[in-house]
Amino acid sequence: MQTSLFTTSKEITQADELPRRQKLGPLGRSEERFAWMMLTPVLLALLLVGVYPAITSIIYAFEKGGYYGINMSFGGFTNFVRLKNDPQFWSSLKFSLLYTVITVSGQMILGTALALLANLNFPGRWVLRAAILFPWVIPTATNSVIWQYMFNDQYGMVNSVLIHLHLMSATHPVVWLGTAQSATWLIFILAIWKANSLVALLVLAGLQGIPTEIYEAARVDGATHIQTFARITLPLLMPTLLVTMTLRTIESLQAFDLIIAFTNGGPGISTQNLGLYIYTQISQYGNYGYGSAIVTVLMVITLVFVVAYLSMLFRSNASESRG
Amino acid sequence: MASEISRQFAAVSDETKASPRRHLPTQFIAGRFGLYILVAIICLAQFFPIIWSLLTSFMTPQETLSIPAALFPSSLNLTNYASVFNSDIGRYYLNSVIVSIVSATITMTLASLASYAFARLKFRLKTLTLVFTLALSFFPPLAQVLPLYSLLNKAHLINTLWALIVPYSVLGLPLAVLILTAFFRDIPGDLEEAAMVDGLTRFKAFYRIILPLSTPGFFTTFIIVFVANWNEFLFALNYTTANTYTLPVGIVEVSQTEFTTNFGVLSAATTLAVVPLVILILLLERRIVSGLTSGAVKG
Repeated sequence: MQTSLFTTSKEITQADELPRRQKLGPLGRSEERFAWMMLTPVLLALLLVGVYPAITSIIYAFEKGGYYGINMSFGGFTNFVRLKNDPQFWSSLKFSLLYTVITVSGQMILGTALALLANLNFPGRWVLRAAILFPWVIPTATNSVIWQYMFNDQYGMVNSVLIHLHLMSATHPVVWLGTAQSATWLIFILAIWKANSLVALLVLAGLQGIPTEIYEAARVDGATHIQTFARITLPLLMPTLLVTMTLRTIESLQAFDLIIAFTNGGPGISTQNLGLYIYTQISQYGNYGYGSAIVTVLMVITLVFVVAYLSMLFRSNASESRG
Repeated sequence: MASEISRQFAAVSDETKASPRRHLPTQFIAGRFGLYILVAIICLAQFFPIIWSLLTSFMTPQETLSIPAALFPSSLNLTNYASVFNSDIGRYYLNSVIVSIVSATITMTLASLASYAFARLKFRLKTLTLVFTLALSFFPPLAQVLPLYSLLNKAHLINTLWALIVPYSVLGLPLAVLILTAFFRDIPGDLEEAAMVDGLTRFKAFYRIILPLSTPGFFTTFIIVFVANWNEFLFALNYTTANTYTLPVGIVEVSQTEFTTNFGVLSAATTLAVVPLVILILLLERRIVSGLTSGAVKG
């Protein structure tokens, strides 16, 4: 009934969790030992490549000093004080939040609409499903390069089409990526285009999990299409939508390759988000401490969003099981 | 699982072939017509960047540099593709293939062991372990780039392909564990028990019974992990130099250094970067969709 991700993890934990203090027989003990043997490689890998770096980042955030990590020393809150007075940080933060709110909303609406369409039965449906999958498989950075070329003011396809349609004069082309406003909106459009497929896929998964008997019952009771959608599909889809929204929000807050290969933060720094600013500070200026402070802020913001979504998810589950 | 998937396929094709429609014929035809127009528009909207890239890849420099830009190539000119293979992009391509396949293989090996434990075995602290495994996908990769760089640098792995294989193998783990666990759970338990009664060890039962039976799920997960590796940019940008560039980084570098002179070659390179993936999704669209839905539809 929920998305695969959600049902699966819930089922696994509910089905055969052993009570912590239960005495195991010899057979159970050997099974448990075997289980931990199978898990060890994954857990070690996650500790080393996932947990250790995240903690190190937080430690770096409290260090000051040399470039590229040379001669760093404990600096307390120095980096965070600097953050507070850094206009570039605030403009990047603002762009990241705006980008997340607008593109995630757009992706959710468009992706859900696509999923509803792809869930209909009609011959040739696979063409639609393949088309939906496509933006997901094309490398984000490569795709941004193509878009950059399409919106090139002189040699791009968009202006060429507009000129051929006599909507624009060839001598005064629109410089799409030249003004902050149009560059910002083009990034939003690109981001919505790129991720609607993933949303559509996950929502399609959720739609297929709704038992068909419910729809039949609704039809027998004489419900209209709109009623069925509002009273059955949408409430049952809510957990899927929330999980999908969580995943999209996390990724949008951390967007990097889409923007660096499309506008590279320009014009000026008008489309620079936190990801790009972190990259500039760490990889280009070698400010490990300061860059890590921004990383830490980003982690905290991400956590806030995740906790908010998860609490909504549990509330919607609780009301569902009561009903 | 195999039977599950084939059952789903059968259900899908049955529905599409023999759905009894009770509409009036004219209304029905008008509805169908509207539907297909909508589908055509969506396809165009989804595919237009790659169509444009494909068209440009056949253009001569004169055509790509004309103002307004030529919209169609005058002939099927393959020189751009030849230039791609003679330039460094050929090597980036090979790097991408090696890195994506090796990392996905390591991810799948590790993930299948852990998924078996999660799906089939009883042990204490299972919830906590699972939450820990999945929670990693919430950490920003941006937070991992720098510390991991120091770590890999100490191990003298930077500027080798291992610098990418190590993080990619781990980044794919949470999702792979999640999907594989769903597939493993769908295999009936009696098969394994029978095998163990016949004297197979648990590991052999996993290896000889569970793994072969979950080939479709295994394959789907491999594709999903492979696509993520093929497209990864952040680590590749930070951990590679000209020798070890992967395709996405190589294409961006080329586009930023010689953008205006090389539209045709650039388009040929991007087309080549996307083509294997397009072929994959055209062939495996059903498997990918059912792979992602498998957890939800088991009855």
